[in-house]
Amino acid sequence: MELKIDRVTKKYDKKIACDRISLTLEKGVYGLLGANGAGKTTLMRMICGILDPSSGSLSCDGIDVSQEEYRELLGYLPQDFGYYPEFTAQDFMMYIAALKGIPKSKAKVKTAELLEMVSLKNEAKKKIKTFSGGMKQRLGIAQALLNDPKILVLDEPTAGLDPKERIKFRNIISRMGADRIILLSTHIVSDIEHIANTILIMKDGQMIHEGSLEDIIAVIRDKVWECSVSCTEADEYGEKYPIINTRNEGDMVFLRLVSDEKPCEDANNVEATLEDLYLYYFSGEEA
Amino acid sequence: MKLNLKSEIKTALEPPEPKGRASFLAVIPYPKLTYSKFVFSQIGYIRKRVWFVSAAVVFAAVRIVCAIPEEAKFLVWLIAALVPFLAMLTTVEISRSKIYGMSEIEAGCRFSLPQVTGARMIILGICNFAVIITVSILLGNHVPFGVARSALYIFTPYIVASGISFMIFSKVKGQEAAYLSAAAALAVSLAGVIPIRGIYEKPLVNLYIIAACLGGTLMAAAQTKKLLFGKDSYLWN
Repeated sequence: MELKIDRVTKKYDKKIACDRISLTLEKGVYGLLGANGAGKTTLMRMICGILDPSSGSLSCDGIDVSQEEYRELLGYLPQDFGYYPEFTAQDFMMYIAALKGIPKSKAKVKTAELLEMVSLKNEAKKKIKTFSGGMKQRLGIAQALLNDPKILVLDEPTAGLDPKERIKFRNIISRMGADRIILLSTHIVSDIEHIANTILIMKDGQMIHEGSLEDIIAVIRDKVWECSVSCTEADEYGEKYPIINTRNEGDMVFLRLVSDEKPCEDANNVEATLEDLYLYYFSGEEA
Repeated sequence: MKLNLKSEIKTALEPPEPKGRASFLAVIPYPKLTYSKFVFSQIGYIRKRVWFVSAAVVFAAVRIVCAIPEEAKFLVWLIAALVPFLAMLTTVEISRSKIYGMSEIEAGCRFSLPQVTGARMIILGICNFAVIITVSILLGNHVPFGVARSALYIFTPYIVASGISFMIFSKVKGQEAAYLSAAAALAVSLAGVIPIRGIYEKPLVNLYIIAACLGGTLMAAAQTKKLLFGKDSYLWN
């Protein structure tokens, strides 16, 4: 199975949301990182066939994304989604199952199984309007899995989940990635760090990095430093280097920063993380 | 093997856990819903209020004909004043996905958003058509201007309210669109009610009604095309 994205561009009037993006996705988990407005959601919508690209093409094993045959393979969790006010969790799942073309008998079994998986079994008959944000998000995840999709697109799936649920969800995704294509975007860098086989980084509509965690981190390897300096020096460093982290420690200020050279005498070179790289690229942009 | 021995073995031994059950079931093909079955499945998701108003319109026509048949020609306006609300409820129901933020999730399903919208249009279109035809026949047999003109007088406010309502839904997001649509239905309804008695016998009125009917039909057709074939309604975040 191969999802091919070929020179895809999306323009909105003068704004280019996605700029000539080419990718080939095979089985595995792909983590999409980028600041707000980088074009992640637009790319995901095009992959789901919801948005038409201004130019370029998207297909999976020769099936164009606009075809019903393609949508049969697809599971999608949008960033924001609503629900009909009279729906219970079970009604919602049965409704989406009908839209996915699943017969009622099979939909009932699958709904029970998935609601149990996302720990909503006891809330199946409760109205969604009584649910917390995390519960709604879990329901969203469950509906995306109803048709046992071969392509799973998840836009910020872990938003609103508590740490325990996030880890549970991460493990589910990790297991599922063995025999399907999973593309997920999130601002929670550690989620991507833990489960993505391939990391994609978008900035201003362009794909600026694509590769494994090791490949991507190589950009700032041996360039991350930690040091404690005075307040005046901290201000100076702030103007000179991209600061990843800052913390007051009595009279001194602890800094974690990126620099090609050792910034000061007592600075320690530390191992770079994906979060360092993310903040390095996107510091100064809207988070 | 003796039966009692069989049952003894059954109770004494635990059956083994099935291995690879999920993967085995995953490869078994299952019959998928056809579009016609899908349309049928959507009937259950239409809210009761639509069926209730449809029934109320038919009931009002029956009451008029049974109670005061000689007054029927003066009471066509009453039915004509009711149908804009039926039109409003229908467009709200068709545009439900947009009102409640379900559009995107529905668009990613096998039966995509335009197909869901199409299914609702088919169900409600058939229902509303049946209502308009039924009341037109009921009243048309008791008025001097006949069934066809009765249908025109009833269909015109319906299609004008539908056209305006669809246009509102294409321009305005969320619940506000539903409120504006209700206001538009009320305006169309009042526009038909104000001239009341003998309106349909006045010269030129029929021309205005035909023009309004054509205008409403064009507006509704254009908006329907947008709903069924337009894609880029998910704007840049």
